[in-house]
Amino acid sequence: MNAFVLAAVAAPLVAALLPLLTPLGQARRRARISAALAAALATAFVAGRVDGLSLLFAVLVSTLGFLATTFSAGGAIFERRVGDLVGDPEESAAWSRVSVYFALLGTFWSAMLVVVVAQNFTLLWLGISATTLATAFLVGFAGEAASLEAAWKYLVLCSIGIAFALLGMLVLAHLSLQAGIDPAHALSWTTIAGRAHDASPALARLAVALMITGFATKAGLVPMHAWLPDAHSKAPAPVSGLLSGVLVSCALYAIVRTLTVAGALGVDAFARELLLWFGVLSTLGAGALMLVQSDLKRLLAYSTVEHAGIVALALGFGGTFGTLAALVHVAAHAFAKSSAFFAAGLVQRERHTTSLGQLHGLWRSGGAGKMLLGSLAALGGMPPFGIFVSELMVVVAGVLADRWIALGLALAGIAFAFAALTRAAIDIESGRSGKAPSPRASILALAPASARAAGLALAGATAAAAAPWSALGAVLRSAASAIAGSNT
Amino acid sequence: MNLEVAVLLAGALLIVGARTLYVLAAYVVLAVIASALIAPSALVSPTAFAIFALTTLMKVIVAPLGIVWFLRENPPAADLHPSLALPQRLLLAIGIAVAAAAIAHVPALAEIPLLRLIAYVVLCGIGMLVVHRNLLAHVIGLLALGAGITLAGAELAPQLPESVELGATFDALVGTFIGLALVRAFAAQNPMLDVESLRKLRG
Amino acid sequence: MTGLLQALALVACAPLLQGAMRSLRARLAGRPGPSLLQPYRDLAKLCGKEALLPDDVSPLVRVAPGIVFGVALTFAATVPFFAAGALEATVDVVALAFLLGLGRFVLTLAALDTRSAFAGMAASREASFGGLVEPALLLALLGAAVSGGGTRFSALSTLPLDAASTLAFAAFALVVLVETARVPIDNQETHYELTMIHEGLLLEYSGAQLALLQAAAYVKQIAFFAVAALLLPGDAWWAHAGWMAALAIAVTLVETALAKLRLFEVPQVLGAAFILAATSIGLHVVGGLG
Repeated sequence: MNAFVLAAVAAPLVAALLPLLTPLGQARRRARISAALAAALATAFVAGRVDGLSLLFAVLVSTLGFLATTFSAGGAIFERRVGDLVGDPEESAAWSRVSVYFALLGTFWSAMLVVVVAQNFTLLWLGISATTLATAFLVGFAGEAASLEAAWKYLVLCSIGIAFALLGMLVLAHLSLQAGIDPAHALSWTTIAGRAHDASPALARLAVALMITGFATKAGLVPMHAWLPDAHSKAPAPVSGLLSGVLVSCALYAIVRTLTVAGALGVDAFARELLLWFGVLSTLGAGALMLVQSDLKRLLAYSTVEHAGIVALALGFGGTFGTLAALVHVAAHAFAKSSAFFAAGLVQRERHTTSLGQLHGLWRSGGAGKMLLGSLAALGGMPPFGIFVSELMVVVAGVLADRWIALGLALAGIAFAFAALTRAAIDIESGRSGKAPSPRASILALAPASARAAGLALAGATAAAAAPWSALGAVLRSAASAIAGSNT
Repeated sequence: MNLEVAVLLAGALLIVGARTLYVLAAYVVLAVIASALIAPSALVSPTAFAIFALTTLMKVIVAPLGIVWFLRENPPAADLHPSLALPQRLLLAIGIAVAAAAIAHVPALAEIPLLRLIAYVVLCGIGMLVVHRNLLAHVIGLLALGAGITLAGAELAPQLPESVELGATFDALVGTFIGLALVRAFAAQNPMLDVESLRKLRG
Repeated sequence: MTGLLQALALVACAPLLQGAMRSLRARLAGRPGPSLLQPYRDLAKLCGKEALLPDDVSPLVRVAPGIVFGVALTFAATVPFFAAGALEATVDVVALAFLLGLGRFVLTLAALDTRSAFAGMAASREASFGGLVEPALLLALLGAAVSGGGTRFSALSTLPLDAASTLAFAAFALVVLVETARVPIDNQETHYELTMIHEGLLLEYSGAQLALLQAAAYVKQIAFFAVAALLLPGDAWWAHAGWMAALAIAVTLVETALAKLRLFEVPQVLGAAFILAATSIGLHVVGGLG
């Protein structure tokens, strides 16, 4: 790997460890935030050295990583204990649980950057493994029995998933070695795509199916989603935001790379069909399950499954428009979902519960409620947020691909999800909470919220424009054509 | 032939066994066989051999010793308390053997050598994860899955020993260290290491 | 003629085998144990005592020991040892399984009829275990019969060394443990009536009737070992004798090493035996098709 790229990838980890040199308190908080900002800006180093798709995801990962770190530094990580919710949560020791948390967060961020800037499947897989390692501890961070069980379930199911992906990669390596590619590049997608293949269709299908299923486990597609509701609801809020927004996106990125390889091996149609049905199952299943949820964070977790399903659906529809729709949706969802989780974290800190039955009158009691309503509206697909545009694009892609039944089923799922989100929003925002409005959450915790709102608007505007002169639009287009170019 | 019998019995013991030590012994047998099969391709270069030696050490020595040490500290964990009774576990083991044989009979996949063994070990690892509720059994199941992957790598891509070993190593790492750390935290609250409430956490 | 001699030899040696196993078990437990000929002395002593039964039991109770001993004798007369069994042409594997079932059935009914609480408990256990072990026995023997090419005992010979036969033999070994009432299913040396299974059925009998029942158990045991030896390598009679001795030692070692299973765990083991036997038959079928 190029030195600049290496620097960009290592920056978040360094940024997590450097602030330990500063004294405790406000200084350390500021150091953490500035270090995170520097790490996020360092991502610019990868521009020009990786293709458009990697750049898009790297920007996404770093932006949200920065926002999550800032939100955590603002002091809302330990929601359950009342004592350390106000003021500075740092303990007096130099190397405390809080420092471990930030170190893990930095590792998580770096590992995700590894995933998106890797040029071959081996490095990508190692990155995903590293994210599993880092997040397992983050999910179980609260230390309660429920969190530990969620972390355990997450660890076991995702390990099985990526083990299957590794098996698929081994079959893929076998096929590329057969095609005469030399061992050092056997798992590099550019090399594989550039070579003509005479692979047996059954083996190619096996490789692609194993890889897609493995990465889909990490993305939380039904029926491999069992770990997601627990892990995402029991993790601390910033971690949930990153998990739902970015980790799932990285898994979907891996699936996109697999699709390019599938195209080269000639089993493109099979891969898209598989993704299409994963997408339909996820959308429908998650939508239905959302209707019966009674916990806010669990509802949001199922919404993640839903949106991952929509992305899979868009990729399954295929074509330039479908791929573009998938990428826009990933970006828009990442922002909307992390914003929702951060707001839920603030709510949990204020009200000490996330049960939908017990939350009322959030609209009147401070900024968190308003932010939550905005995020829920965004997730439900309301204009002018980005998800509205991307869902519209997915529908158009489905019509263009002539897949009416799949589209119809998916739309039913989306409708269920919308109903569930609307009902939850009305339940928790309206009414009176019976309490005095709580003291304003620290500006630091809310600042990312406004950044998120800006991000939502930006994503929406960008997607709507997709104009050639918009830099982000150019990145999106180049990314989409990079994938769609290798298949029709 | 003897290799197949050894793998068959070890895999069956993984699923049917009800005491941690027996299951651990079965895993060690599988790990040794997998490492032995990938050894020839790892001897091509010094880096490959170094990685191979390190990972074999971890999979065959460090991981099992870690589990034995854990058993010393937590005696209740010596009994695995499977969630299925003996006849059902036996039936599952037989079913897995039949499934592996069926997979190997698919003509399109016939070019993969030892496919029967690979499929059997992978399915046994997953079967173990399904049958047992004990966290230690899950750790051993993940390790067994790693052994299956090493086996697959040895047969499918022998020219890439580093990739295979790195991959399997990560599985072993994830399985053992992280797993044991979480298991420790869990055992502090629940000495029986039972995750029966995992079933309640279904989505 | 040789068949009859063989049956008599087996019957005569049966208490010796029991005595040897009991002695070995005692030695392994660190006790000097009774002498090898003690079962003969016990049987002789019992024959000289009065046989008492409750007054209003049905005739079945009085007849049961005879029937059970008859079944055991038939078993001994069917099994080949150094020659073909005397009843070899009449009784094949299937008939034998049903005859053994008949013996168990009669004894269980008789125990129930004595209206003794402990005998009733033992009867219910024997019946439930019997329901699981009889199919396993039948399937295991049928598995061996398929390898041998016929269900008569003359067709049974050394099993080939393949998966189906190994499974069948494993199932048969478990069945032998159950039928001879050995640990881990039942403990012959227990004094606690609450835990007795086979011994419990005999609680109400005394005198010559008890001697008949005990002798029947010994003869069944030696016959089972003879069948197992038949399935193991070697065709000559001394090979069979050697295997029987080895099996006796192995069973005694198992008895010493394992603890008695809890009652509700026994059906699991029996179920496992049934599955092993069924799988062996399944493998034969699949092998025949393929």
